[in-house]
Amino acid sequence: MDEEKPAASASRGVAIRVSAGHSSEPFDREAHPIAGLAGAPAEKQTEKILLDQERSGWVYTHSTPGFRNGHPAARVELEVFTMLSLRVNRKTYSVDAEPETPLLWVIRDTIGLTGTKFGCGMALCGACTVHVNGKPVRSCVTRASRVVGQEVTTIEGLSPNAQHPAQIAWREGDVPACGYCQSGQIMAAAALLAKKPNPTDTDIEQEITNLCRCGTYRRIRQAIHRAAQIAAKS
Amino acid sequence: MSRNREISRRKFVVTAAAAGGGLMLGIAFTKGDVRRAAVPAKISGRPWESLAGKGDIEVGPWVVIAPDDTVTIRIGQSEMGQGVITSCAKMLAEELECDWSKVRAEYVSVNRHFRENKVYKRLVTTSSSSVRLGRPYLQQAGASARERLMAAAAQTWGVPRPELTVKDSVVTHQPTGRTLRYGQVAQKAAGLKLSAEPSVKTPDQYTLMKTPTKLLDVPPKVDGSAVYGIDVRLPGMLYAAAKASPVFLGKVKKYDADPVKNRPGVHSVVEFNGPEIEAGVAVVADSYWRAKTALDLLPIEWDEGAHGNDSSEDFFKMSRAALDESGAKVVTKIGEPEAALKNASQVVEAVYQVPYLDHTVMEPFNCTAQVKPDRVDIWVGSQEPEAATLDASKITGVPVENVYLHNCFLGGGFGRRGNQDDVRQAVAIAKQLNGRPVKVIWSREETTRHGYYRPMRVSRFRAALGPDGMPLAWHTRVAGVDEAVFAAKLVAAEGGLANTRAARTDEPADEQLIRGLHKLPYFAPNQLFDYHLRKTHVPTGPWTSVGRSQNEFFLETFVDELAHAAGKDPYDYRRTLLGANPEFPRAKAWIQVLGAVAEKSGWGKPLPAGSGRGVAIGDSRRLSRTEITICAMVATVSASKKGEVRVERFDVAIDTGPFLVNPLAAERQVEMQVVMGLAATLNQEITIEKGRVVQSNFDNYPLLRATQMPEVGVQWVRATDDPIAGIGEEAVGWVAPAICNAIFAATGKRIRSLPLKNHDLSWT
Repeated sequence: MDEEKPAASASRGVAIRVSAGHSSEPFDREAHPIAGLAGAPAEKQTEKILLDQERSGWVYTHSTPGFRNGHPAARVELEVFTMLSLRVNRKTYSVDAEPETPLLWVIRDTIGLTGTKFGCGMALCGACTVHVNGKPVRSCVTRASRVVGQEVTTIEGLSPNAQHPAQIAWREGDVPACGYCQSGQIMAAAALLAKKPNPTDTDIEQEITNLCRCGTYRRIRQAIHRAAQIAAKS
Repeated sequence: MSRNREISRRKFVVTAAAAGGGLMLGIAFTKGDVRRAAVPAKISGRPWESLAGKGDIEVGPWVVIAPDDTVTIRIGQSEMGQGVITSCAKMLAEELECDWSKVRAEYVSVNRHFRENKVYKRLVTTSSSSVRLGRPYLQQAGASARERLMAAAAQTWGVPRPELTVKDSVVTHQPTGRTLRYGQVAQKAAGLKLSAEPSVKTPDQYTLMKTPTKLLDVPPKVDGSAVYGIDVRLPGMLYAAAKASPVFLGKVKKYDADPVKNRPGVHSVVEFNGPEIEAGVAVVADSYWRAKTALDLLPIEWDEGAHGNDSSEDFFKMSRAALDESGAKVVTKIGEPEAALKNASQVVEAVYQVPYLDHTVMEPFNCTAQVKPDRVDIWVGSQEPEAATLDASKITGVPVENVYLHNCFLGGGFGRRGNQDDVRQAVAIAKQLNGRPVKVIWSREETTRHGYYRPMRVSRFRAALGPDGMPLAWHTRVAGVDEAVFAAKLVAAEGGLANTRAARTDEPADEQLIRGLHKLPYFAPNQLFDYHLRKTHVPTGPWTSVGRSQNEFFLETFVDELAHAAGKDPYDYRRTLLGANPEFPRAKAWIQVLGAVAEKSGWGKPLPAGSGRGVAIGDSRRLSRTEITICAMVATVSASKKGEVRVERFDVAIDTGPFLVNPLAAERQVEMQVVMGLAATLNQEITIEKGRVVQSNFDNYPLLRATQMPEVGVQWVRATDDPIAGIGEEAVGWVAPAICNAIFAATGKRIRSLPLKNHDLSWT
């Protein structure tokens, strides 16, 4: 799954709920195969539903006869809704989120990559910086639907084993203090280094506008120069 | 209905990725990638989880030794960028004589601390106290573990202990040259009891300390694996967006959940209130964004109480009026100050004021809590996990032995993460969720508008100068606002919770108002220091440097004013006044530090027009302790004729006393404080209108930007022989007066109120 091509922009998701009598119980696909597909693998069952349906919000209802004496019929409900298909760190994720959801929260809450931080929600601080097709983007104000079909990279996917020159330089220079803004700083620095392999102090001042409450700016600047050296050597 | 549907959707969602016609089945709620660190882990991204493996042996509560000699040291203090994990580990390792390259660190178990009679001494990280108060018991714990390991080796060989030496985790029997590693004797050592505790090293014997040490917590902070409170993820976890009464001490009159309860992902709408909890409403959902968007649409009516029209402008008026009111509380009186002032031919008088400030932690406030009938779990980055645990126990009625606080990395603290309001609120919300864990997150706006602010303050200084320009009399009067009124109010109503300052400190509530001003370093034969304290409804609390960021701005600006009134150089004038003060035994050390910074900064050398230098010095003295840290600064600023001010460089000289635990961390802390003080001086103020905070985000409460960063030169000076008070906040106080004195030198404009953004600094 790691190296798939970007997926189609949106796909359908299905929510399944089974209820028996007054209770609502977790639906066990193995124990309660969907009518007509008994015994088929779960993938097949789902595929059938997806193929059959065009519209979102459709509810498929299947009622079984009372399967236990004295119980009313069980009811299976299926809801179809839009899923966003996102490429993050070279993996494809289909996520249940409103299209206007900021990319930041999809990355953090839905996909579960928490290295990208929430700082301000207004693109003021840059703690949420990720790459979209290699360019730095403030994910707190970027609609998730806008990056469908594009390559999103977070701090977790910046390099295998955290060996990006910026990460090496950040460790060498003991850059982080509280560290909360540093994912964003490193992502901004990495994007700058990709564009300008040997940035000047002015380049750094102009391009890295991320805020750091602990005031690590001097060490960040030194680390970017060091990262440029490391990259040049490798 | 909606609730069930959303749960089922989340739980049983089938994801369909159409790529290549294939169909991917899975749960969209993927677990966070648990990634293997590329750099050997010295500390876990989840520092509350123990690194200790199965065969590892605990040699006392602080030290775990693995068969391969890896030493895990437990840390009771909270890491928020000050390098405290590394410093605490070093203090213990100094005595343990272990191989530092094999040292790892993890947080202590807060729960165990309570179960084992406060075994970890103090789980508090405030007041620059980690080294000052932690060093004796951490050194002792290291020495005790070392002696047990050596006793175990002696027993194994059947030789007397004095024949053994130890270095880098290897015990050597000198007569025979035999060796045993710590990993080989840990099991035996764990079962040994010492007849007497060993003595510990004095600073002149330190070998590991005093040298710069790389920080253990850096690697997880450059690969995204460091887990801050806001990053915690748990199975079945819900998310809450919370909104507390915009007017402090207000109440929820009513709210209508109907418009939001059927929105996607919404689980429930809950109200929270209680002792020391600002009343409010939270929307609980399956993601933060769904909770937040629903909360924004939720109609809430507030009962604003008595303070709906209060403003900080009125508080300043009240405070300025108080300067002339009788009944001021006297702290210091020497000689006959009133008479001397009355009869003097030259009196210099100045009124100063500083605003409320927010801490502006980079990580917005948050706390994750799970409340079950017999157990409470909390995940949060806290400066006071001990107090937070007690509060959670009190709110839930679950005994403290069954409360588990998992301390996370802190995305900034500065005193803000020691009030436990985050924990109390989250516990109050979680209590209503039938045992499900919930992560409560505040927006940046909520975080800014519900702080425990650095108290605003007004002061008036008057000094009578003799013909030689030396002070004959000095009167300092401060009008402050209560530093803990929020707590005090609710304590009175409810009998109080664990964390209240009154309940856990001997210091008076107005101690931060007094600090530094209680003992004048400069010579004045007649002195009076008195103050008024007024109450407002705005919560206040400690803000890095606690009291000094206000008091030292007043004091060190006023001394500068006196120097100019006397026609003296501000640096020379300070030296003279210090040297003349027989009541101030540290004058000599002050003069040494002052001299160091003057030399480094090129004090007295000519600068271009529109540029100037300003100096300030202090020692962070307090009523309640004897330790000090002498710090002197020179700011060099340039001001354009239009009034654009740039702080070009900061030279800082600090007394180290006999040692610094980690010079690398100490230097970073000083730089951090310069940045903090500079941002506040330039641009920051919290104002109150209609009973609530006006500022909301970084656009109207700006942090320092990289482009505004001055050069910072930190110089260590050995000026005293006792260990210093600490270095976590001992530089902040002098940033503002150094800058403002430099602005006077550059432009002739005297700054008596902050921030600078409110002043016209143009000059001709």
